[in-house]
Amino acid sequence: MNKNSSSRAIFLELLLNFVLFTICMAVCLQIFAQAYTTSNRSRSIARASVVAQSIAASFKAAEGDLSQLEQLHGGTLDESGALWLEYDQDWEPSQLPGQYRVCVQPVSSENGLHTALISCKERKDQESEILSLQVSRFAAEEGGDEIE
Amino acid sequence: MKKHVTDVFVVLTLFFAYTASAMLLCAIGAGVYQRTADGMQKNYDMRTGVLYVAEKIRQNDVVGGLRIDQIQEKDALVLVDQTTDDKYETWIFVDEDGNLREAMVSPGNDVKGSDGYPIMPMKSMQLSIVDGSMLDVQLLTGEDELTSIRLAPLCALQEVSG
Repeated sequence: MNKNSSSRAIFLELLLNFVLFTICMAVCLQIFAQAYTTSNRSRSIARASVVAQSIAASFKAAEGDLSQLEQLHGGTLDESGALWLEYDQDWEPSQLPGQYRVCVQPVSSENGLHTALISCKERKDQESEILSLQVSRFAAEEGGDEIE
Repeated sequence: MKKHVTDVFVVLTLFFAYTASAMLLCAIGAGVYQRTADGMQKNYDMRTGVLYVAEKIRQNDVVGGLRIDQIQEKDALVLVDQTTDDKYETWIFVDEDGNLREAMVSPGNDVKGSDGYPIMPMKSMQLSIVDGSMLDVQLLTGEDELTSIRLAPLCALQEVSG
């Protein structure tokens, strides 16, 4: 009888430990998944910032002309005058719709100052913005300076 | 007797399930940690290399301040300092040991691959002028991560071939 109750006590203790351990394991796995997602997001932001800087430099070199920017980087101009560029999961330019896309949206163009908003977006379940950068450039004929 | 054997079997099974779960959790944790650490290292190499070169170009964006030259048939970025009377050039290039290197020399002096000091591991650096006014910098990091950035220096770029 004593042996039986001792064995049951050990069994119960192990069972309780196992349940507790399973709960902790679920929490840990969730943290690991979050860490992995955060690491990927950090990588995306770093890549996006380099791509956005490159596009900003091209925008300045093209003196705010998005059709010239289209010739330099590819992509498609939509009806609103925004340029859309597609990138794959490694942030390499892609002809087909990829995991990421960059939108160069003209904001204003007054007195020779061309301003555009560069937005890097990620396609997942729904599209989310990774980062955005505003770039301005005085056209050469106005002989102005440039501001970024 | 039979019940006792069953009890022991159940307890042992539970114990092994517990041990296996603990080991699985450790393995998953180690895998995630390794992937995250590798990702961070790649990210660091990519960002640091690109931003270092880009910042150097922006700092020296003055007329006659930038030149693309070559060392042992590899591209080198030459920053010409014109702010002081004692003129000097800063050469940024990738050496044979796979390091991004920076060397300061007097103008006209020959630069060797071993001159200067190493900055960080880098397998290659390619510099090219795009569309006449933009500088395209392509870097292959020590972690085999290829990254490129385009810059629009205001100064006219010079390219020295050979």
